[in-house]
Amino acid sequence: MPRAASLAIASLIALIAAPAPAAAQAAGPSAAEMRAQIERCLDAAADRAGEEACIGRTSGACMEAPGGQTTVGMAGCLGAETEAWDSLLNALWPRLKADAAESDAAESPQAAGLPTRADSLLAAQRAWIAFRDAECLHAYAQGGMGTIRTLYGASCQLEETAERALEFRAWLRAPP
Amino acid sequence: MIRAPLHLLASAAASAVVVLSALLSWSAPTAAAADELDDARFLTQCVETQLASGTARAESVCLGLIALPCTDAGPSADDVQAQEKHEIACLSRETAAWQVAVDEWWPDLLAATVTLDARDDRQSASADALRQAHRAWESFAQAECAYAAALWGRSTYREVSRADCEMRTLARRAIQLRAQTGLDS
Repeated sequence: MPRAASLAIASLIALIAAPAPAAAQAAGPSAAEMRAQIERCLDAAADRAGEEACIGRTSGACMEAPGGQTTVGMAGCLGAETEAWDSLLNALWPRLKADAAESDAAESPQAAGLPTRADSLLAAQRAWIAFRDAECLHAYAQGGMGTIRTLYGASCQLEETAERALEFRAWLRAPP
Repeated sequence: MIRAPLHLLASAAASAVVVLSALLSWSAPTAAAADELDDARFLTQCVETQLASGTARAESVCLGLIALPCTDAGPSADDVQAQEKHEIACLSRETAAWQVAVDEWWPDLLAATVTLDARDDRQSASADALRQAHRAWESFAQAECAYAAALWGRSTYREVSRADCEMRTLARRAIQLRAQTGLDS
C-alpha cells in the first residue's frame, strides 16, 4: 500500500472518530461490497458526470437500511463508502506511478534540470492528503458543537476521496 | 510530435452543446456585452446564477468562459511558440479573474465562520480551520500543477499545461468557496 494511502486511511479514522466497525456493517454492505457496486456504477457511466453520480450512492442505500438512520449509523455508512473509494484509489495509484516512471525513463527530464513525473506525482498526492484532511477538519468545525459535525467531516472525506479517485481514473485515460 | 489539444478546449468541446444551451437559457450577457464586463464580474455573475443548480453545473458552465474565446482568437497553429504564449496569457487572464472572485467571496465566508465560533464560544475554531484549509489548498494547487507540468517532460507545452491546471484548480476552489457561503449572503 502506498504511504499516501496508509496516511489516508489513518487520517480518515482519526478525523471522524469512526463508530465501531460492527455498527457500520450492521447498517449496510461492507466497504468491499461497496467498492464492487461503485466499480459497476463507474463502468456503466458514460462520462465524468455519470461517474460523479456514483458518489454517495452506496452510502445512501446503506442509510436506508436498518440502523442506518442514526448519527452513528450514517457515519458508519459514509465511512464505509469512503474506505471503498480509498481502496479504488489505491488500486489506481500503482498504475499512475508506473506510467510516470516509464515516461521518466524514456526521457530523463532530470538530466535537463526538470522535475520528474514520478516525484511530482508523489508530491501532488501528499499535498492532496494534507489538503483533504485540512478541508475536512474545516467541514467538521462547521458543524459547531453538535453531533452533526461528525457527519459533516465524514461527508467531506467521502466527497474528497471519491473525487480524487475519479481524477486518477481520468488521468489514466488522458493525463492532465 | 503530435501535440495534445489544450485540455480546456477538449473538455469544453465535449460539452459545447450543453454549455451553449446553458448560456442561452441563462440570462447571460451576450458575447458583445461580455466584452464590456470586467472578467471577474463576468465569472462571479455566472457562478452566482448557476450555483443554484449545483457546483458541478457551475463548473461546467463558468469554467473557461474567458480563456476559451481568448484562445480561439489566438495566432495560427503554425507558430507553436506564439500559440503557446497566447494560450498561457489567456489562461492566466482567467486565473487572475478567479482570484479576484475568491478575494471578493472570502470575507463573507470568513465572517460566517467567525459568527459560528462566537455562537458556540469556540475561540476561532472554525475560522482557523478555514484559514488552514485554504493554506493547504494553496500548497496542493501548486503541487498538483507542478505535476501537470512535469507530465510534459521537456516539451515547452509544460507551461501551458501548468497554466491550464492553475486556472481550473482555482476556478473549482472559487466555486466551492462560494457554495459554502450560501447564495443568500
